[in-house]
Amino acid sequence: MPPLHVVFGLSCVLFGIGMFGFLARRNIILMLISIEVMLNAVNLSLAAFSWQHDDPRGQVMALFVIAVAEIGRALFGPYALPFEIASLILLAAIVGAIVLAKKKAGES
Amino acid sequence: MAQSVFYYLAIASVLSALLAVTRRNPVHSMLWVLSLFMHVAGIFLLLGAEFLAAVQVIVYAGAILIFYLFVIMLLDVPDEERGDRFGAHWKFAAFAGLSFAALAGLAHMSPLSEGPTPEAAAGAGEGAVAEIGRALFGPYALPFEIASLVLLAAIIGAIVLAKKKAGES
Repeated sequence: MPPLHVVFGLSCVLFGIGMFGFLARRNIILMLISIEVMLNAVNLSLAAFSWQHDDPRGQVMALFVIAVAEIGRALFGPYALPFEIASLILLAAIVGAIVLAKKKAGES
Repeated sequence: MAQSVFYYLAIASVLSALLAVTRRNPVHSMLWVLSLFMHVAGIFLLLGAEFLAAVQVIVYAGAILIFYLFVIMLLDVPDEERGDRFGAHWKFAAFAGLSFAALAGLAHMSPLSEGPTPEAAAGAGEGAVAEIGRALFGPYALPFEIASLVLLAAIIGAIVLAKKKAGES
């Protein structure tokens, strides 16, 4: 496998592409699809964290991400977008928590 | 070997994502997203996340994309094709996407560049699925139950919304 930062770079690039799609597209379904691209990018970085630490928790988080994204589909229509955005915010919080925890582990 | 497979998957997934967000025809977009999901599933396999790869293929590629394809086929696709692909502000969107990717990349690069710990690299992929099962039903049993409750609430909400719309028309 390549060094871990290459995987994170890929994840960041995919997230940026999804962000561009979400902001630029005018079709609501394609905006949702762009959010899927962003969620996938974050799942990728969660799986990479999980691989680095040999710890299944990252994959468990990624599974919860998929479950919450699924709710957006169930309520497809007027409430899909707020749900997807809420799941993205949750994701950002999860990734931030992992990064903070990782930094502290490295320091001590 | 794994290295070159990874680089192929990475380049293919970036290209599919780019094509997915820029194609004019929504069905073409959807098919490129399918290609993206398949390639990301391959990267999950390389990262020792077999269960995640299976869920990615079954749930994302199988269920979600087919659902979106149905929605698109129920809409008037030629109508969508006639309008503009992007809003007038697409340059700002491109700038936002690029700068986010650059900033996140910078933030990720500095503290994490040391790569996997040797013991993690040696033990990765062995019994990963069993470990996930143990984690899901052990320490993560409560979040798991809450996720199922939220899904149930979403199902009921969807039924209520659909019922209201049927009654109105």
